[in-house]
Amino acid sequence: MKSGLKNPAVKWFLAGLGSALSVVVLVLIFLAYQHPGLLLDWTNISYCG
Amino acid sequence: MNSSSNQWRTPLIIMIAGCIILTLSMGVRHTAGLFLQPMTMDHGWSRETFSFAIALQNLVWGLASPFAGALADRHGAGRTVLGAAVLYVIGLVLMSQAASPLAFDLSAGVLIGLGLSGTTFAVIMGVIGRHTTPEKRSLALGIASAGGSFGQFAVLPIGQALISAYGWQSALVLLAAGVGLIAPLAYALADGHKPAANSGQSIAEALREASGQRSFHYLFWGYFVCGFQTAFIMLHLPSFLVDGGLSANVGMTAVALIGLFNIFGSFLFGWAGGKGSKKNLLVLIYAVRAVVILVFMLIPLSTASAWLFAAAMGVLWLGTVPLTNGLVAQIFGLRYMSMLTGVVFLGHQLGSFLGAWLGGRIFDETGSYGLAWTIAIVLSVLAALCSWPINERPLVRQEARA
Repeated sequence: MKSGLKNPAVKWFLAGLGSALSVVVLVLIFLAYQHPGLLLDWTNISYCG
Repeated sequence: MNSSSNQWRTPLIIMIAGCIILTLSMGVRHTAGLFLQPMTMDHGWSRETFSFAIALQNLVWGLASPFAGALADRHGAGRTVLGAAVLYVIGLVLMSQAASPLAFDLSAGVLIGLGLSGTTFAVIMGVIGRHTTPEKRSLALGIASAGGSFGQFAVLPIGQALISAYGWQSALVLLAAGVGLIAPLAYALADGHKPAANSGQSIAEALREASGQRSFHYLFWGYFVCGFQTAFIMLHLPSFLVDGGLSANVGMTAVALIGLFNIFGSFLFGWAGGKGSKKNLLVLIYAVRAVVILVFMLIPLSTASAWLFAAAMGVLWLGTVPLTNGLVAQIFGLRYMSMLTGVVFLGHQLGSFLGAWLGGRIFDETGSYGLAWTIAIVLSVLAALCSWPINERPLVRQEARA
């Protein structure tokens, strides 16, 4: 029986976990753009990018 | 340095290090606009004073990129990235202390611009390109490009949070500390520069050769259009939406959507570039951009249309980066890839400067962005047309034939 990272099941699990965490991080960052406390001053952006 | 001491610098390690460097460098640079309001208020400067320094930064970034690329090609990417990171950090720290417009121009404009030239696409793509096989190169460049896109998307709210929590001066020092992390990562790129094939050319000969090729000019002007469109849209889209009766929130969500979909687009076009013709994909990107902008202009403006436009443009945003850099490597080889991509990137920055400036100028003169959107469409069609005749075949050099 293969162990650790050589086990395909473990690889798929880690890949799935990584993907899920990536999605969570992206969603959290996206929500940060909506949060009133973090709402960016669009006039600043429109000046400088 | 013996070869065994270099064994840990696998292509994967180099790609990961390059990705993180691009994330930090592009991300911190993207926060510049957040400092406009607090800095101009504290110092009593005009907005023009601030935006001039940022415009200067963009120009220095573009003008210095070929030189940074040449340094990396000659002395190795590790030293170039390290030196540029030091300049970047000093620039951010001095920016936090700048008390006069001149000091601000020199720190935020010149030093950070120089720092960006050595820690972004030209140098990083060059070292990644040298360490990947031709089959995997485009995908690797796409992943690195996605890293830069992620930085632009992720660091913006972090920068805002730092300003809110600690004030703008401390926020700049903390961002400088973040950029300082590039220094140890540069060690991973210190590969002693091992070009896959040394063509025996000098830098001047490589430049002469490239400037004599029409494909190089097509890549330069295509990238010019890319810079024009991305700078114009990123800078003026929020204002355009608010002028159209939508809220500032809709504008910010549009900016966030561009950033989010840009990550996927960069990766997607990098992957696709490894499977098919890169120049055909460039034609596709520029043609679809023209269609997307045209449709956005023709349909009534609404929240849904703004978000759909932002998502579509996001997918097409930096997909040009792995394709353009990949084509430079494919046609001209790896020996001077960093310098030549630096020259092409100069075209991008000149386009960015014009897109940002002309968008505002047209609005001031005509009271609308209509003409600027039309120019963006026409330029997109021209970019698609001039990408079509690019000859993707590697150059056959006289030494190789002899």
